[in-house]
Amino acid sequence: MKLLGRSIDGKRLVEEVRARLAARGIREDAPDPPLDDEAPVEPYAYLVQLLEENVDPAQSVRTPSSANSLRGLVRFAARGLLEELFGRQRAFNVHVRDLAAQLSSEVITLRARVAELERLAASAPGRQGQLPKKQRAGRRPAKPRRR
Amino acid sequence: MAVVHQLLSTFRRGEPATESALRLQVLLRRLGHWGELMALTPTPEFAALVRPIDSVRMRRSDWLLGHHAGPSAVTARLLLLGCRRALVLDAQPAGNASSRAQLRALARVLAFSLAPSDAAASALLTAGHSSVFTFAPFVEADRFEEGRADPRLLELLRRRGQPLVVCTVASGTDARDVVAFHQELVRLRPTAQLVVLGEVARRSSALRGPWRGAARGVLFLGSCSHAERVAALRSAQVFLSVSEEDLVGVALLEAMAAGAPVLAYATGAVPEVLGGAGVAFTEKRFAFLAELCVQLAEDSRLRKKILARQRDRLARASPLAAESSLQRALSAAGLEPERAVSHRQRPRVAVVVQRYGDVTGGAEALARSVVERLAPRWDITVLTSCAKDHLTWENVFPQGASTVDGVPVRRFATRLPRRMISFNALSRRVFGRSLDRGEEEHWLAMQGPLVPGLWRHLAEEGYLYDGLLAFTYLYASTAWSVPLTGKQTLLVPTAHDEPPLAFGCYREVFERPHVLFASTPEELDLIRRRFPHHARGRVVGAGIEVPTRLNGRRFRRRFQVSRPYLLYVGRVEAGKGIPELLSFFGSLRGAEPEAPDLLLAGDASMAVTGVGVRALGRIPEQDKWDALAGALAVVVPSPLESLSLLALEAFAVGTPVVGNAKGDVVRGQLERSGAGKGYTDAPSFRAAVQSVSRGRAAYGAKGRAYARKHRWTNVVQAYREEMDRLAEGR
Repeated sequence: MKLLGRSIDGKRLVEEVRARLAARGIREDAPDPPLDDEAPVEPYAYLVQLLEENVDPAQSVRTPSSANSLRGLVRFAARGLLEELFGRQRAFNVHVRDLAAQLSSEVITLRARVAELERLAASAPGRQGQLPKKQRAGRRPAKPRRR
Repeated sequence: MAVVHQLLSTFRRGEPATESALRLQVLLRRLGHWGELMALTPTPEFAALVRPIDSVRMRRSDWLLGHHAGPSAVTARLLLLGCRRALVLDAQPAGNASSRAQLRALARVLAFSLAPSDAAASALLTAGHSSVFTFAPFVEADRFEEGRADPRLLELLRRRGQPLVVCTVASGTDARDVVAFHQELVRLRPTAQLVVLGEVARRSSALRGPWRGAARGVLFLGSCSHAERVAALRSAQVFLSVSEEDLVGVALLEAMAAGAPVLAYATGAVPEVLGGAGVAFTEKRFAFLAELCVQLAEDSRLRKKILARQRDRLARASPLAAESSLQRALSAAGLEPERAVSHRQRPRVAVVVQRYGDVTGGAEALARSVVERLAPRWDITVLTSCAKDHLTWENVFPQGASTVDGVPVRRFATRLPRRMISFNALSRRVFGRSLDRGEEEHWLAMQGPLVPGLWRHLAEEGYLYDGLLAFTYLYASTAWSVPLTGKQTLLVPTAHDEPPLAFGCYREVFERPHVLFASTPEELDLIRRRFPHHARGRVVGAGIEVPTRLNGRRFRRRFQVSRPYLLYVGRVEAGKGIPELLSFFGSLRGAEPEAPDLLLAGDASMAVTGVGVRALGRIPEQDKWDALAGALAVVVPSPLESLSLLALEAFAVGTPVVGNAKGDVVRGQLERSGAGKGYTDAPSFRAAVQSVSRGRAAYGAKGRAYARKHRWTNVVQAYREEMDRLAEGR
């Protein structure tokens, strides 16, 4: 344990508190492991994994345990069941939405990139940067001559 | 300046993103940026303050700051919207992969990201954001003074057992940690008390879930009022934070402002927010922390040292410091303020007033008179609403550009009409209470008029004006415009001693302008008492110009008035003291049937009845002057005046005034002029009427002498001098 603060003598304060704890018969164990920085999550892979987990709203749904008890309890249990199903469906929809949003965003970014490349190609001097010309309509390609 | 909107998933008070957005809104406004506060989920209760995103028409040049405090649909919107986008990271739930995935997905599409702490910046960089800028949080320390605390709760908590520890249940606070700590504390001090602030999840009540076992000596305050929150913090002997996700640290600053020693888990933004103040601990060992807590509560020397350091730290968490840090962050992100244009021969001035043109109202009449007299010297554009009625703000005048008496006027539609029933109910709830900034901003939004077009215009084109002349501090149209133009503003506050003047949200309205034009010395005194750091003030008032021909008989003939009369001119409504006047007048007529009649001229929003009482409705200007000249006396019943133009006009035509002396301003005008009598109740009203009836000529002479000092040439000269000083300072 460390105590931080400029208005205190951290080490002395820790010692004082530890002494009081020892007098009460309380001993400190090994220090807690420090909190690690959480690794970044790749959104596509993560969302696909979530979609797989939630794809079936009825999968392993808990059945009402009080089926033989009073009708009210059954109704109560059924309501819980429905809530759970809807909850899953909602979660699924959210993941689909997020994935769709990200894919759409990618499409928008890539379209902008393509447009930019086309603009660059059109403005570049020489044939190197030009896109292949389209064939003129109404003219067939010449047939190879027979000898 | 730019238009910078903010987007939340849901607007819910107490939640990190909502509170962060409210704080940021204040700072953005102070930096000259205007924008809407938007939420994906509609919140009808806060419709005036927060708009559903789909109701806002955003332009491609607008900025949208999305708030992230966990996974939400804000990310999807940010990914797909066509405007310029940025992010504010308010919190990141530990171990939440969805949150991290959303942050990662946003990294590629955002122009920049804002972090309220280095810890938040680190989380953003880890998620792949490249343009990350940090700004500091702030606390309005005066909102946590002892006088802002709920006195009953404060007394109750101070009488409870000791030591008293306060903690906040925010995101990242594990209830089990708090319970474990409290159990250890009770072992040491059986009378120990724990006050838990913030919404505790329904399943986590004191009797069930993680809070089980902590019920003894625990008080759950839930989502309490600001006054209760202050009472809890001020009674705390220790403020404990065990949150593992706090990326902003405002709760710690609030505890410091309330004078509670802070003991906090050193993670997230905690070490940097504490900045060496308070005590941060690195491990959650609750027996140890309970011992330490007892020492903090009982060792007065240690406590004193900690509190002194906390006060030093608070000085660096002021709104001004936060504004500078946000300005640096936004400049680095490319949101540079536009450069002001150079001063011209004729200054280009925007006049902001809530209503303009053919409308009834003292401040509006003053604005029009000033504009008409300054128009030959300044290039004036009046920026105002389309409203005619100040109660509903209903759009009546057409939107867009027009002219009034040759002066260009640009009208902006009001977004919402004011619903007086709900507004009055809200006013009753908040007046005289200790509020937080969000509650005051909500009241101001409900007050209106909400003119987003006007604020957009100032944010985008405000730099094209040499100055802004704003009227009436009270309304949102002025209160949210003045911070946008800051030092370029000349404000005519028309402040009265009324409950909203106690709101801290008006501080920047009074502190940031170049100058305040007070109408009377009493008004300036009032502003000085309420806002000691107000901008330089100058008593200017208004001028009076009396028509050359006055004819009291003409008025009597036209309106068939045969008896002597007392006259009131202005809005006939409760806020102007009319019900009290009618009651006192009823007593007078009851005692003296021969007493004069009472004529009320002006738009009426209440029923007017009584023997000898007549409502004339709105009357033409010449008739008004004729009526003033022919009256036995003029009555000024409003206790809330910054300057009674009616009294000045009466003085100018030699008619004495019977004024409500409960208000400092009217009383001051009567005392300085000696041209009338004040009243505070029915007997004094009767005595005042008798006195002015007997000595009308003498009172009238004094009135005329006093009115001669109020000339428009002096007023116009004062406005021009201040505009010149403003130009010199640029």
